[in-house]
Amino acid sequence: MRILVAVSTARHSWTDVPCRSPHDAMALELGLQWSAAHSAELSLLHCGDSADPALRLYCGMGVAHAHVLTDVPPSSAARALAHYISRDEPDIVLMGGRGGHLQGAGMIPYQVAKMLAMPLLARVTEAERIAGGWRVHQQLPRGARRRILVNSPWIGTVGDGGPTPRQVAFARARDAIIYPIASPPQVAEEMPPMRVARPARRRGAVTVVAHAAAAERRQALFGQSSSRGQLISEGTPQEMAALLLRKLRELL
Amino acid sequence: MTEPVPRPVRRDPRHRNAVRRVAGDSSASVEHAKSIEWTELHSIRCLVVVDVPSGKLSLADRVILGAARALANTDEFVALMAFGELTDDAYQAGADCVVTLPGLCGFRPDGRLAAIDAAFEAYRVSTVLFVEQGDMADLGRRFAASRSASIACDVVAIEGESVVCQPDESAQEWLMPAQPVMLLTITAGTPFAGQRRTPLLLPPLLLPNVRETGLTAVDTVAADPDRVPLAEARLILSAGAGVTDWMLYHQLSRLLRATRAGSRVVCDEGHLPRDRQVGASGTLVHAQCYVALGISGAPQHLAGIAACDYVIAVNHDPRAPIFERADLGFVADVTSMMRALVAEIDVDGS
Repeated sequence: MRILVAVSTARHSWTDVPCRSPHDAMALELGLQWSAAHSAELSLLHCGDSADPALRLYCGMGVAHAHVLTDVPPSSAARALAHYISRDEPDIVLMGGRGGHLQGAGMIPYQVAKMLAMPLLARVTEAERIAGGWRVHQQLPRGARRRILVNSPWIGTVGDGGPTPRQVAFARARDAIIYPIASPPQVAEEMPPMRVARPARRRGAVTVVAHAAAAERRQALFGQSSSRGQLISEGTPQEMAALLLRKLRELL
Repeated sequence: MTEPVPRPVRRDPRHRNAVRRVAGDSSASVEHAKSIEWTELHSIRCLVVVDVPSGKLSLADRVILGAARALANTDEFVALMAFGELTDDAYQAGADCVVTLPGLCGFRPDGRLAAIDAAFEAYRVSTVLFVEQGDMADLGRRFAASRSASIACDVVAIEGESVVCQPDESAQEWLMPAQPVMLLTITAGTPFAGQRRTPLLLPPLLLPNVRETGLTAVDTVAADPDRVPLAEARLILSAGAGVTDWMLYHQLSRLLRATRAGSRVVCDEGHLPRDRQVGASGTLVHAQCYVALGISGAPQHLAGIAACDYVIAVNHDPRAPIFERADLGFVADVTSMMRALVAEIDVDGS
């Protein structure tokens, strides 16, 4: 059984230092955990520059070698990855939900899944092997999980709730072997939309009410009026408890 | 005495049920057209796709509808596609027409994709909007990939015909024209506050029968309330200095399946770990319901619960500031109230 982790490299958005992409590092961490749990073979794939120092940071997490698809224009990355995956035939492909330093659009896994007609599951956290496929846990908001039975092979992406990536070992990063794979010449595909960059600005300023009483300032900040609540001071605790539970059932 | 001069009647050229100004009424009361019939000349500017498992439009859904209204001119149409039984008034929230699909609840990515695709074609949609979180962010990307459409994600603001995208923690933001698929964050707009929209009657949508690729069965596991991050918890049972019987408090939180939290005082005393502290120096919580037991409501604590949807407070002091914030307040002894709650749940068995 084989797990393929496809990673992108990143530059930190404030310091421009080469770094692991946060979601891709989580995807590799999950891949390392699963390969240990299911005694699967793990391979690391990158599409871009084989001399990128950020690539070795992934190897430093405990991967002896990595394959790099070189000479691929960024707009053809999904096609190059899909081509490699279709020949390599892994059981599971793991990718980060958002590429770069979380600045990518997160479209590559979806484009690859569409090209290969493979099922895609976002925000995966756990996977158990069952007959004929996998039972995959998907993360939902507010701590819930969804269990999905999926046939092999499938693509999983890892998002913000993924496992904390392990540290990078210097010697492993230095000693890893990187195999560049020259890709066949690619035709640049459709261009990304035109966009103009500018420094980010602060949004959603807090309304401050000057020369007001403390209660009014608090209301302006926290956005509530003092008159909307209902106060119940009469009755036995039993009656109050029944009312409280009725309200809870209504709300949840 | 002269007869009031009748004002000229304005007719909407699009439809026979024209908006008519009633003569002689200074308050400008307007008789609404009941509905607008869909013709092959109509098109939809924005299709807003939302998931409504509870039947209600969330704040994020309302924000996206408001943003869609900001993007569309007043004479352009905004359609809402809701997966689930929608009970809220979508026309009040800014939609001109609604497509509810109760059959596509839960995890049905391919079925949902086919529905959006069908609507996109049938109603001549220019832009499809999703909220940039959870299943909807996933569905938006699936849709963009399936149509090879360009996408704008992390949209934080709308400026005229352009949108501003700013990924998390980015020092830069990008200005780009509106794209066919857009994923909006909760800061991208404000809920629509204008007049209720006149319904546009859409022809029924023909849905192809779709099987999910490679997915064979699905179920959902409820969250363990104590493993949910405090900021994400749905129901929080919060303890303050008024709580003295801690075994009773823990029993009650188990019975209610509530996430446990506390004020600074109880965390300082060690009754609850520090990561359970709610307030300005702890966690800012976003609970659907926050139950405050024996919390008086210091401003730092109220800042922590500002984003909660509903606050229930129990305190023996009727002048406690928490009652100013609480949507439902009980002036009672906390211990006897907790005992009554435990007894009540035991009787109900729920």
